[in-house]
Amino acid sequence: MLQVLIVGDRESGKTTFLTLLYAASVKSGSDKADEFRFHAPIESMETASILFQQLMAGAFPDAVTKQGIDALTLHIGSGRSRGGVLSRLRGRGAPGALSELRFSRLGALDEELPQMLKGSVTAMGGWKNILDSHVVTMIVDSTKLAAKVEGPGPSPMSGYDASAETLLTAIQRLRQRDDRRLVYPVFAFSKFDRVKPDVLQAAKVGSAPPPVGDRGRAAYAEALLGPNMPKTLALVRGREKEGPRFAKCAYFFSWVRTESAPPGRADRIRLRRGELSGWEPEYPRQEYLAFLGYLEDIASRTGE
Amino acid sequence: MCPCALLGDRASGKTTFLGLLYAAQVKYGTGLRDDFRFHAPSSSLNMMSAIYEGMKDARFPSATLKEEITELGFVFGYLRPIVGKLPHYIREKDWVQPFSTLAFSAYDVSGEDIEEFIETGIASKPIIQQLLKSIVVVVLVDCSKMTTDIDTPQYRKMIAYDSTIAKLLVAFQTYKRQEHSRLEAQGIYADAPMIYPAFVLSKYDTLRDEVLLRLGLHRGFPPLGDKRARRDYAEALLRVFLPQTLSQIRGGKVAGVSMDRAAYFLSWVRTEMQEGMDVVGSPKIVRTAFRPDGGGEPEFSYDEYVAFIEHFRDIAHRIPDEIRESEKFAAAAV
Repeated sequence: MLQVLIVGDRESGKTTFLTLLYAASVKSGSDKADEFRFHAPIESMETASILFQQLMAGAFPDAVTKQGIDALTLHIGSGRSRGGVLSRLRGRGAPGALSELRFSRLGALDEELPQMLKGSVTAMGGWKNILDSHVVTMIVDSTKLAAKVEGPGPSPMSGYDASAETLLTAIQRLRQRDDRRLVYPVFAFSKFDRVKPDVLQAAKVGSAPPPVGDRGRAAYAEALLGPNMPKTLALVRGREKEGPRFAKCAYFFSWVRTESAPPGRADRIRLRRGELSGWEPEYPRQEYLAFLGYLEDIASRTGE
Repeated sequence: MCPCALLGDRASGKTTFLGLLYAAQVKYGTGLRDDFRFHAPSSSLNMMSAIYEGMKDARFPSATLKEEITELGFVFGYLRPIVGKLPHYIREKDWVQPFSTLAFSAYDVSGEDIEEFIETGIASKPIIQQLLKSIVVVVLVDCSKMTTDIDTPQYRKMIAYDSTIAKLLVAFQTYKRQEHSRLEAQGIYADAPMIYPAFVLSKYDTLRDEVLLRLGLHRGFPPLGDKRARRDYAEALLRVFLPQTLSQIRGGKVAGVSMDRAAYFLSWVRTEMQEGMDVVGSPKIVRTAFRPDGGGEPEFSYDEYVAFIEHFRDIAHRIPDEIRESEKFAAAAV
């Protein structure tokens, strides 16, 4: 089972990220092409379906739902990375040939990381999985991205940067003797439709990220991360000789269009009518499918 | 006897479906071929015939009648192919077991027992244990709740129903996989587990034109012979209104329990329409005129019901190993 940590600041969109991941799976798992199949185990279905219902009602995950969600498991069996139709025929009824992905959502880093470092919350929520994690997905709240950090004050992301660096260093240290595995770092930019124009201007990048598979994607993401998460970026790009090394970073971009709500009320997710289909939120489904594809590749390479 | 589940939401047309199924089997099961038999316990039979009688009086089942339904079940029996070739006097012997049987039970997914199971995931009640053993799962999908307006209670109910059915299907898959592993651990190497889903699009006549238009579908459901076109048509509706269910049906294979052999049927009963006027109260059922072969019957999708009955013939002849095992175990216990 491939363990994927979902790490993020408070209100950075961790649960929304998981919700959209499930929604993208449902959408692709029910479309006419039938090229993507997934199964959600019963323990995950309970929470996933609540999240999905809220999403289809135009609501973001509420606080109570967030409290109850610390993991989501998906068994993926798409034709894409397994050789298409022939491989699907070969693998008929053989669940062992499929990827099992377990997403563990950690609580807000600023609150729980210090406790984890003291050793008091290692058995709580997703924290118990940090030693077994293969992939660390860091949710980067794009609304907090700043242009060049100037002046003596901390940047909006400096706290998160420090926490993420500490977490990754801790994972490295805790797994020092376990040199079998690489740790795969992923940066997922959430709320990317709300990134400030001056940030893009300062980074000298366009408003839309390069499409999935484009070579310029890493440069685009790193131009934004450079001034905002320098410590974390330096750590994962560095070549540590001791302890598990980090694989090449992967970058994904997420957003979901919203309708502005009257003051005092939460924003609502805008649902759009698809061509010859039903309603769905406006979000970059391809990014989520690319993320799942990326994880599938790691699972097949590592044999998890 | 293979257990089968008929799942439907409150007011999804379950009672009407059962009444019409009863009507269809009365006509079909009394034909000359005599290769299909129908049986129901007296309480269920009384209920189904009462619903049928009401329909012959142009009435839909009353709310009081629906409330009386607690456990409704019936059995389909299909003459085994080899037995059909035997002389009549041998066929009559008890040891021949001439019919393969499927035992259907109707479940209200909004009922207390299922709701509790969905919330807790604990299958402690016998009714839930019986439900999970089902090899055939018939899901009623209420077409009157299909709307393009997402702010309506109907749409929300549909999405909630989708979640419930998807969770139940995953529960079925989990149970079947565990049973399969248990048998393997005992050295019994059974075939890969399978569940046969069937969807009945109930109240099809109430499906809104705007929904069809939006999905690029035409009013007529493809004919019975064209299975692929029927699947495409029905899946176009499920994709919008039961997406989680459809994805988990397909995902069954990923979980090692194939549910790929889904079938789709329609259910409708013609009602009296007064042009330009809204119907006040419950609509009246249109009945057929008197003919030599009968009459005064509700006008409904009889061919679809016959196809529904026939669809399960092959399935009934292929009893899964875990059911055989549990039957053996039950027989030994007696």
